[in-house]
Amino acid sequence: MTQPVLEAKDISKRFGATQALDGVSFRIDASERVAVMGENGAGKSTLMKVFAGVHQADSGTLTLKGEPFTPNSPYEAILSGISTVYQEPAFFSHLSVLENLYMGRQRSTIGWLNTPAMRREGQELLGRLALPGKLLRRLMGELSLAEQQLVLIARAVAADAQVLILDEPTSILTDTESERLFTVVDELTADGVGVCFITHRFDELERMADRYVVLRDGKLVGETTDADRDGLLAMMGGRELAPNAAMSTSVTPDRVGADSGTVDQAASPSQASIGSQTATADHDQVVLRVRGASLESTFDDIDLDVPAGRITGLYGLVGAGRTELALSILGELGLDAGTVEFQGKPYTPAGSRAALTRGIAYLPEDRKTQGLLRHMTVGENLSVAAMSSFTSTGVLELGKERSLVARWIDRMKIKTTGHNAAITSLSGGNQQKVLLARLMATQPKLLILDEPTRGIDVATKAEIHRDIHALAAQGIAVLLISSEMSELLELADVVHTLHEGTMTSTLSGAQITESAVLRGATGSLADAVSTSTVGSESEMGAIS
Amino acid sequence: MSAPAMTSPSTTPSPEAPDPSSAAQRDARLLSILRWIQQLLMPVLLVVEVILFTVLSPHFMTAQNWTNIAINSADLALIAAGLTLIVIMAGIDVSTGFAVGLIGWFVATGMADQRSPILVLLTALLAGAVLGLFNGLLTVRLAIPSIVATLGTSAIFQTLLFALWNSTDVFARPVFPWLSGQSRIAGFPTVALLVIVVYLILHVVLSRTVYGRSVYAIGSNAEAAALTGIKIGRVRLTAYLILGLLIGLAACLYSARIGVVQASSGGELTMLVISSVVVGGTSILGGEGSVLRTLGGLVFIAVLRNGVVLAGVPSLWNGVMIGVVILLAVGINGLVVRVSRRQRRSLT
Repeated sequence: MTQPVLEAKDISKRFGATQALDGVSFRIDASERVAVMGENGAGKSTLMKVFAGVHQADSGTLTLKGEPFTPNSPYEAILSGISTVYQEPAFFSHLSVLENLYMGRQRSTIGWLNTPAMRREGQELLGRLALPGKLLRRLMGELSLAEQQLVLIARAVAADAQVLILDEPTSILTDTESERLFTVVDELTADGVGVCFITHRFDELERMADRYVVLRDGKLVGETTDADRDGLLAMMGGRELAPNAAMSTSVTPDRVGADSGTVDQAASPSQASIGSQTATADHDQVVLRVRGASLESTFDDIDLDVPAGRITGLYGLVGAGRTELALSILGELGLDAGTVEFQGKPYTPAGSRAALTRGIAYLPEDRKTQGLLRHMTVGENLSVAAMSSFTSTGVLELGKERSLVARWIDRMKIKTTGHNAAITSLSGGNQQKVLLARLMATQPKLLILDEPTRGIDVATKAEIHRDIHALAAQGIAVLLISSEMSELLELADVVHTLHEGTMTSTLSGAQITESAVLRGATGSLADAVSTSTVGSESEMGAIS
Repeated sequence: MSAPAMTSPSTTPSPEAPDPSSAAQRDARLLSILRWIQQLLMPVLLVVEVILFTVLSPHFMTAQNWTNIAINSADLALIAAGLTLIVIMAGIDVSTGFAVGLIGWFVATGMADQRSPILVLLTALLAGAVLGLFNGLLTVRLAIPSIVATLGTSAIFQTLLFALWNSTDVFARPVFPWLSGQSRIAGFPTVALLVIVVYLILHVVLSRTVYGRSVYAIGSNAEAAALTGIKIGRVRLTAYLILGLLIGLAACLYSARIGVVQASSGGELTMLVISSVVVGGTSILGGEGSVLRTLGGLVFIAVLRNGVVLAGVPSLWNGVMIGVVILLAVGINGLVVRVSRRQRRSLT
């Protein structure tokens, strides 16, 4: 049985300035299990969404069982036999599990619901995933995340799929639940269904799939049937291919001390200039010190130092707990355990407003929903956090505001017609610059940037990177959360990797390589790195 | 590892696909036209309306009639000014009418019992503040959607009024002579000047103060506003307090203007107040608007109510006309939102 169920040829898809998919060819055979791997933003989810009819390819062809296949909507794709369970799935939380299972394809006689039949079948369906039949009556929104996930998988299974696409299905499942899922997948493939996983979990690869396909920067860069971790990591990272040896040697502190001078400059040319410009006493003084920070089922026992004048990177895959850690430092989320020190004094996180007055500024992940004031002007957007600097009585001194805004527009080279332009008239990159300027106008000591260049064109991205560098050079402590590898490689002095809520490695200078960061983020460095904090701190000293 | 499946080396940035960008340009053009219509709608309608009524009735374009219009809509104007703040923050208050009726009962009873006028006025303001804060606390602290919360309080206010009324109409007289429709300063009705002062103050507050800027920021994006350090709860609560104080003042004007308080007093104001704000062009979705726009909407509605009567059109038509104008204003607003959303999508 090796005729392809689903075959894609030369699929390309572009979103604005981003080439999400670039000539990807891909096939799934009947009864085959394929795992699709790659970094964040490599194009995995986009490819799956093209199959699922969510996105339409700009060019390239799809064939389903030898027939041309152009799904214009998710509904068409499901009818044609492609079922998908998304990583962040949509469901009806106010309806029962039964109603969720059969939404859109209810059993009925002339419009009258045949509930007993659905209940019978539904019970059987849940049984296959080892879920109790009494779940059918519960509201979807009351279930745990794992249960919801399993119900949606049951729903996809029930749709008589020929191809089943599962986007990181096990990330929130326990081992037992995962194993149950794999058993169901085995049964399905025995019936001729092709199953396609997106996954980051190396430990499950062999159990999960027969063939592994790697995407990078929207291109399919390789496929293999060998679940060898290093080989796959090399494909995912791409640039350097023999990282393992380098890793294990470079953790020895004295080696690093000797090497870092030269290699460090190669990795990040601008670091040298910063170091020389700004050898003031303030630099390297730890502005933010986090010890043993834990939040239940989010992150665990995190130690983090963010020094002045440095860019500290935080890398992790989706769900690793990066943003949550930042929000806990701000006080928007709680902390179950651990301490935070800011500028050498104990600090109790009490929300972003309190943080801002103390000098901790946060650039949120989602520019549109958390940053922009859409109806307002560039000037108003820029000055909103710093209003106290141009008022003493509550009445705004508009002259002072104008000069503040003009200064920042000029300094950040924001492309706009000026103060009164609508914020929506700016490009995404320039909007982001306005938001960055908004924070800078409050004169923060610590800047937490969450995905500062997501969805921004290449040229503006480079400018923003320059801005971030310049800010750090002034002595501001920068905590840079990014899922973009190249951004961290270019900017960060130290990179911490998070994997499922634990800090897996602390890399500095020459250690910051693509494969090392990936290794940390995928949690696959058990033997390679257990870099002691002491070691990494002494290395930081070596850099400066 | 099998050979990588790659097409032509297309790493060089290919030019923007022509299709989406031209669609975006078309949308941008459409958007600027719609914005233009949105800006001009109110002034044009006002001019058309005034010309129409001038032609239809000889009594319309007279100083006496304009004075009447001003006096008869002063209470409405005060409430509409306060409601504008709430609506800019994407909230609403549907309890204003019966709040006026309820406070009006206290005002009328107090005056009938020969209480000191200053005490009556202060009681009215205090009662307004209490009712406003009650609405505010329900929506801000208990996070009840403002439409639901004020629908509830509206029913409560109405019932309280009904119970207090107890089948006895209370005849009302002005709290102070200068709060009556008869009073003039330099020939202008005093209450109209009071309205203008309130509008000017609120206009300055909205456009020139930290508080006003915060109101717009919350309406535009409450989550972002909170992240930039704005105390959104306090700002919203203050707006309900301001609205409440204006309702207290309006109740003094209203009871004197109507001359009697009974079980359903004030009820007719609710929809007229909301209509004035919306017709004026303050977006019900929040983020956009001003008290000056509300003043435009208010004048339009006040003139309509007056002109329709003078022109001898059965007054039931005035609801239809207000309705059509609201739908037009809100419809254009909705179109703007839809087109700009589509444009943004094709740009990103």
